[in-house]
Amino acid sequence: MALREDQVQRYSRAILLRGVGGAGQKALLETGARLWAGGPALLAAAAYLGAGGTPVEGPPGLLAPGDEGFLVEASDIGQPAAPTLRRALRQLNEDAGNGTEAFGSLVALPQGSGSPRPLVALGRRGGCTVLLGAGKDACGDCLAELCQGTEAPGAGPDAVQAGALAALLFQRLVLGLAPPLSGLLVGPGGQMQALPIPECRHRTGLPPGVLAEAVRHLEACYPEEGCGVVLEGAAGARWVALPNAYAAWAARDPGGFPRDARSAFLFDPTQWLSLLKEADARGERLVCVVHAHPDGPAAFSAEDREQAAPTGEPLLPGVAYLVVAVHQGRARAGAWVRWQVGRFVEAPLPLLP
Amino acid sequence: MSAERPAAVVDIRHEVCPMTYVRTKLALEALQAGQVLEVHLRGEEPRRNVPASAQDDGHAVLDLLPQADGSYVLLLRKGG
Repeated sequence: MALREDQVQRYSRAILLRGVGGAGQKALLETGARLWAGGPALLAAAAYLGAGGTPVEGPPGLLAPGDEGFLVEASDIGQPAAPTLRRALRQLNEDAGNGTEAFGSLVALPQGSGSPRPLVALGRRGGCTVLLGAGKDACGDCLAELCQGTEAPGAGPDAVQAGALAALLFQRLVLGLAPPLSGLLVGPGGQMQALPIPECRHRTGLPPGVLAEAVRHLEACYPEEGCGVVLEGAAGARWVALPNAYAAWAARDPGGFPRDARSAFLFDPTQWLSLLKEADARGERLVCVVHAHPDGPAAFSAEDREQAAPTGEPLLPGVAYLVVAVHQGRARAGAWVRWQVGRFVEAPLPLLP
Repeated sequence: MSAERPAAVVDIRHEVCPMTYVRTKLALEALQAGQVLEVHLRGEEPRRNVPASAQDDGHAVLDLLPQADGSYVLLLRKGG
């Protein structure tokens, strides 16, 4: 739908900007921002976004002391936040108080980094305000790592500045002007510094040759669970097959290891440690742990999850898992598993023909 | 005058800045790259600024033709 005449008039200055135009302003009107928390920084962001025509919804809960500002009066404290904000936004700009179908997110760290994209997260680290922006294509693992060690955003003038920047970052994400993942550190004096964004190392697959080697090994191990790892260094990725030590450990301690090598796998601790030391010496890192499910599904089982994150946190942060279903000695399907924002996420991985 | 037939015409003779270029920009957005927009404008400020803004945005100014009534016809080709 084209912009209405009153919208052309209202947003004329934005339409003139390179990178916005009519199409960009339409996107700003159609991509709402859902606040997942209150607080002065996020409410300031809501005001700036609302003034630009972006529909804003939320936050959940009641308005709390400290929320007073652009949109919230002192008398609103204690009232439900979402309807109060909607009323205030409609007075500011009717477009901002109207609903829409697509919503991104404004969140206050340490919560909410898994909320719908585009997402802008605000927090505080070492006396500085942290702003993180994630578009639809940003890696969730990378975002989660950037969020680590970040506390809730502060209050006061810094919060208003952070809110204004958060609104700008959200708009740039909607307009496709921001990189998929970006971060900004704002010091107490207002000085800004871009956060370095490391190259994503959370793969969604393996090089074909490495995957082929892994699959061949798993098929050769049938009917037992084959296993191994993929290491990566400057020379690229390489497959390292490891013996399944489960049967040996079960023979020594049947009570502690009640299954067999057809339904469980285990790296021998001595071999495992030796491999990690070797990898370290070669400047390699562990990128993936691979094992088979003989005549079973290509899925990360409850036991797999328990072993990979026994305390609720991954034992091997940043490392992926590949589970391959091997039926009658032939690999049938694969599942690529990554820890993403507090849980393991599985995706089918096509195996080689 | 350019022999190309314009794909669209926009009349900004009764607009003032910044709406002069806002109307032009919106009209250009609706075209395909390479198509021609005919802009009817009046006054010194739009005569100077609209072609310059269009060029800044990557479009080509094909012609600026004075008319008998003191207005101008500006022909712009949309950039890629």
